Amino acid sequence: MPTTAGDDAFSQKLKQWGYAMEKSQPLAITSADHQLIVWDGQLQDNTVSSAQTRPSVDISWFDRVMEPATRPLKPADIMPVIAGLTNMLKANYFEEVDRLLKSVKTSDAAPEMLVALLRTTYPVRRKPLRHWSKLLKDVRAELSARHLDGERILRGLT
Amino acid sequence: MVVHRQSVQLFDSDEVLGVAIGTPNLTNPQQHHVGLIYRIDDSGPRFCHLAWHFMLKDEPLPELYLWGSSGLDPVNKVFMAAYVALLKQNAADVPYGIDYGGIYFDDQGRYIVQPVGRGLTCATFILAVFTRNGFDLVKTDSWPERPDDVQWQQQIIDVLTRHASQEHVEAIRQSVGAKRFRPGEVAAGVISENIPLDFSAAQALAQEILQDMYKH
Repeated sequence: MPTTAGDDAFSQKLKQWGYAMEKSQPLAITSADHQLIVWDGQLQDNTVSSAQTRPSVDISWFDRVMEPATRPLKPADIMPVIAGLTNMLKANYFEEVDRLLKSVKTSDAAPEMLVALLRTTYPVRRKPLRHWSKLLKDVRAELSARHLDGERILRGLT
Repeated sequence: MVVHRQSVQLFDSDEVLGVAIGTPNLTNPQQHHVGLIYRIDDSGPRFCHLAWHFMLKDEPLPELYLWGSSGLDPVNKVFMAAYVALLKQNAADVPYGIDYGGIYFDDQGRYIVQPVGRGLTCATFILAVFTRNGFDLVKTDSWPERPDDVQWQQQIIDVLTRHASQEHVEAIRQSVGAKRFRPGEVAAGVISENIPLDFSAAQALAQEILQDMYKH
């Protein structure tokens, strides 16, 4: 399934990731600091020796974030997002998390998913996640457009 | 009624987040315990709570406990229930401590190791979990230091001597007299829609909760 990320969100190679996954092909992508291997939805550092290699991280959950909800979401639907983000933060994939935040299309995602992205990354919102504040602003505008109580839903997030 | 006993009225089937308060030791009815209730799907409600020193538990909601629904909006209830469901695997090693202040959970959801003698109670564990996600349940600055909490703190330390290291116990003695956030007051913060609660508002709602407890 192709990624629904915005045009400027990912490098050209990463934008091909969804297609490559659909074809079950491994794809090398390059970010500013790391050379990463994407394989079946896994991120793995490929720049350091095997002894220092960071653990691979599953990012397949991100597709779920972008899907419009067809039914009210339950906590079980949100858990993979929290766990996925947490695993990326544990592996110090801050740049990649920031890129995911930048790529979110707020018009497509369920409010619960948007809140999960913002609150899970809340402790590192200043640094190194440069796009956290922009996402917060976009989510606030989106909730308002949907006539939802953005002030209450985003309470405490500044 | 602010809270309901689980054995009399089941935690609402469409509810995903709440608070449970009870009396863990029936021979000491003044000692209350509090924890968070969550439900991730159509299964039964779970009770996540700091039971004791390095003893974070996640188990079915006990029948003898009383429950109240979270005052958060539905969107944040879903998120917080999911977050609490993952707590046990991310933050299992939480020591017991009687003072409260600062940040206790990192960006990875793990408990941040504190200086020796510091830790959380069942009640401040809940405050810390909500704070990590941007919610202040209470205005901690408005809390007074209450002389009648000193006796409770000393009793807790006496029991801790059998379960914690001597170093931890000696350090925790330095915190006697610290502000105490009582279980009922923190339960009030979870239930209220108007967070953060100042001390007087939390105390008033806590009083209602305790009245419900003794009514049953």
